Amino acid sequence: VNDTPPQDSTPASILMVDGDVVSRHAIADYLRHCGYAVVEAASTDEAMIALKEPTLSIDVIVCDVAAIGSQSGFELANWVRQKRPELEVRLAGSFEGAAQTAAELCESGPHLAKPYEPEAVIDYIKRLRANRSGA
Amino acid sequence: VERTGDEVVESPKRGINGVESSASARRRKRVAALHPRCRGRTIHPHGRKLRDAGYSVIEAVNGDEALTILNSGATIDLLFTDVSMPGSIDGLGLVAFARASFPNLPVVVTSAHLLPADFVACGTPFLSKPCPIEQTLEMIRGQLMQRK
Repeated sequence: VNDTPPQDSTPASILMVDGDVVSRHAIADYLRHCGYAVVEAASTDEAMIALKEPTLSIDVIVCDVAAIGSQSGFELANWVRQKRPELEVRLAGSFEGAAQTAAELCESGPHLAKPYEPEAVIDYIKRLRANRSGA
Repeated sequence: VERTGDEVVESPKRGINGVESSASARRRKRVAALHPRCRGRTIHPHGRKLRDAGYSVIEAVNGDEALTILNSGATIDLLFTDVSMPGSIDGLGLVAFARASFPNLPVVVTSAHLLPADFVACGTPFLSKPCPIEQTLEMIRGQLMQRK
């Protein structure tokens, strides 16, 4: 009898596309705490490289609408919907939106629990951004 | 996707807000990894491995992102950087900035082109690329221990 259980040890992978290192790292970190494997891309071009990389199996893309690169976030989303319809795409118009999206993904994420409230992520990003602009 | 440069900044791992995340009761160190571009960059193989080793890693894709992080007030325990990177500041400029602005921040430099001797002279820990993860971890661990 072949009753080998399916291998379910690979965590779901999220591709986080955001040109702002402050919000990208904060939200990626939050998603990692939720149990996801997160690949960070600083531009839509990097995102395309990640999507075409056979060793990475991406399940969900969280993309800043205003992501930099030769494509906009919208164009990347359209490309994915046409060419890789199996992938879930979440477009975020702001880092607040991205944090909320991350919180929603955490609800169904591998750990089934949010590590902290998304408001904490937003506050953290605001604090770092304030320091940056004040420098 | 490959990142060329690696800047890793390490800091005690607190969840955002300084709250220790429940998943890691033990303190983690935060490493900022800076990756210059090779063929694009994105997934630095060491970023994942450093996380697996228990570090919190902030990945910067170029010197400008690294400066943003260093200046943001994010808690960083160690900076791990490549030398040649795109952007307005390269790895050596970044090291100089870090030395001047954060004299207690340990820095580890990696390069595929420069020689260790170039760095021994100025006392900066150096790893030649390609560099196995074990060696990288050992260097990072050692540098963090020295600062305790």
